[in-house]
Amino acid sequence: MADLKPERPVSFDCDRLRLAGMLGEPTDPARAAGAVALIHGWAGYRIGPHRMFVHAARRLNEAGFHTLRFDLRGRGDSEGDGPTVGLDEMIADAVAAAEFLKSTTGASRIVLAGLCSGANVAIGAATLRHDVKELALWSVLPFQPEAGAAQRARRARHYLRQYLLKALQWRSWKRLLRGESSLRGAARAMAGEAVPMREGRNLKDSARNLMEAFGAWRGRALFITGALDPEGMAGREVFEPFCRARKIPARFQLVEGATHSYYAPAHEREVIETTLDWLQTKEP
Amino acid sequence: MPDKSIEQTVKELMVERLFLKITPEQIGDETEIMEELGVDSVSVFEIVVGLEETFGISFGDDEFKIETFRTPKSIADYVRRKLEGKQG
Amino acid sequence: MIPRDEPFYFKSNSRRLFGTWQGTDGPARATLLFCHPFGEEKKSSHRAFVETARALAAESVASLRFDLTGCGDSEGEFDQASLTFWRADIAAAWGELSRRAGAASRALLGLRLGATLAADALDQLERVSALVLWQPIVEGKEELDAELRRLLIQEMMTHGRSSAERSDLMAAFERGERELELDGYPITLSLYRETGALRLAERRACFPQRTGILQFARRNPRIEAFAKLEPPIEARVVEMPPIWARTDYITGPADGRRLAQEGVLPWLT
Repeated sequence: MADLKPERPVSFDCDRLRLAGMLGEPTDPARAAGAVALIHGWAGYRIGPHRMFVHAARRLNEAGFHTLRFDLRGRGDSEGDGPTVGLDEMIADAVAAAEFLKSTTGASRIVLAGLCSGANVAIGAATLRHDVKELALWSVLPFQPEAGAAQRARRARHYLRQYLLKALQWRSWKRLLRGESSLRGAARAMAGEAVPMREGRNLKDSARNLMEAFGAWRGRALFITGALDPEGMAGREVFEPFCRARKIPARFQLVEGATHSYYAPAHEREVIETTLDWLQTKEP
Repeated sequence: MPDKSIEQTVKELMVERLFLKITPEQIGDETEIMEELGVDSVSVFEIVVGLEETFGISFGDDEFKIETFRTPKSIADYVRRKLEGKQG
Repeated sequence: MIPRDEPFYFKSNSRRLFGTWQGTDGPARATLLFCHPFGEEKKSSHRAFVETARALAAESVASLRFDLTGCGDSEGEFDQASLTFWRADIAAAWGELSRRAGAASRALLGLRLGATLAADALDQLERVSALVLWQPIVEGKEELDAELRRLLIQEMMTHGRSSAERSDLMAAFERGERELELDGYPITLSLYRETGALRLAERRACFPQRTGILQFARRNPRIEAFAKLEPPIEARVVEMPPIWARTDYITGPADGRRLAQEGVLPWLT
């Protein structure tokens, strides 16, 4: 195996903010297969949980891909006021990242890979860039308009599997199923915004109808979900029928035993290898 | 200590330690804390440490059961059992 | 206007470490080295370091933050890491800081295990004008025990109950029958033992006169007891959630200014 070249620190601008990143090159330039931008989750930064993005980038470099791990604005080492950054700003950053990758590497094949809300960002960015035809979506969440009911139901079912059924009072069942878990909306977030808001807007929501935009997107997508991740499974339950209905070529992969961030090294490896395998094939 | 105040103490502890943006009064005795408040493992750990410090009890490793942490009432019932065990 | 920060690689023995220098507009009156915490705590607290560094730069304090071997953007894998490597990394980073500091004073800051490691490395570092310990781990073994508990709680949340007691878990780990990973970071037996042997009190004699402790949200009995040992160390509390443990708290510029004002500058000046 050829020695890995070290990634090099790079920066690019979006909305007059400098975003920081690490650019990785293919180990063997003769095998150049395209370029992948890795998009982190809401509160993370470019290394990803347990350096998953560092590992993914190295593996992709070995397989012939350029990679860009970057920090969304207000995160990591990028400029920006973190608590005020919303989904649409993150999408703009991802669009800029794709452009930076394309212009820096000359790659015509640009893939966006994202984890958790980073996967949602990837979808949003792909709908704005016609040259992004492949999305690798790890633990994608439902978009905000679809999120409430799906996530509440999924979360309830996850924990109910763990509880003894008789321990849950009927009135709690009814409340959960009716979606009256209203406290979550008010109290979610351990410190900071209950639902991150700015000037009356939910930061995790978009000004666009992203599901509609995704429905019109022409590309293929890989959805990877941890079987023990209630939030990710809620995402899968939204996107699987949606992709079928809109005829979006998509592969849905479940990682057995995995939680939202794929903590077990074996699960992380499975996500990375599944993604690589998918990138190296033409089929959904 | 009157029984009722254990539930209240639990709720106050949760609001303080988990930096919840609600008051203890907004949490019901039967509020499903994982589904409704988004409590995760880090938060449960904080709750455990808070309960141990506040009530002078100790969680055994075999006592980490999800039913215990379901609601403020289930947590308070656990605390009561532990306190009775200490006194007995 | 503070200058933009500068990312770069530097060497710790043969290993390539990633660092970021935050300079000042004009000569710096002081410099500071940030030492990050363990595992996933580093990811959670990274932005807090960045915002604090930027706030400090506005106060003419330059700083260097860097990633230890096997962490962040540095070379190596976590299961190759050891305290020996990490001590050397801190010394190498201190060398980088010293090279850039010029006549400015040099201070050392660590968060959680980073604080304990910083203290542990003191005897290898020259001219440390101040030591700032953010929520330091006082006893390595106790902290690892707490981490194991959290692991059991994680299992409970995922599977309904935890799989084993700590003692059984550790026995199997020590026999090589199971692996131990904390939030996806694989812990080798040697790293576990080395970390478990850390005792902050053993380094107290090396502490510079200007040493301070910052706690988050509330007073921690263990830290308070350590601070009260002779000679006593000033221990403050900042009204802020634990920046290393939050999975959804977004640190912003206001937090950075607060951390700079309450958690660094009192001991630098």
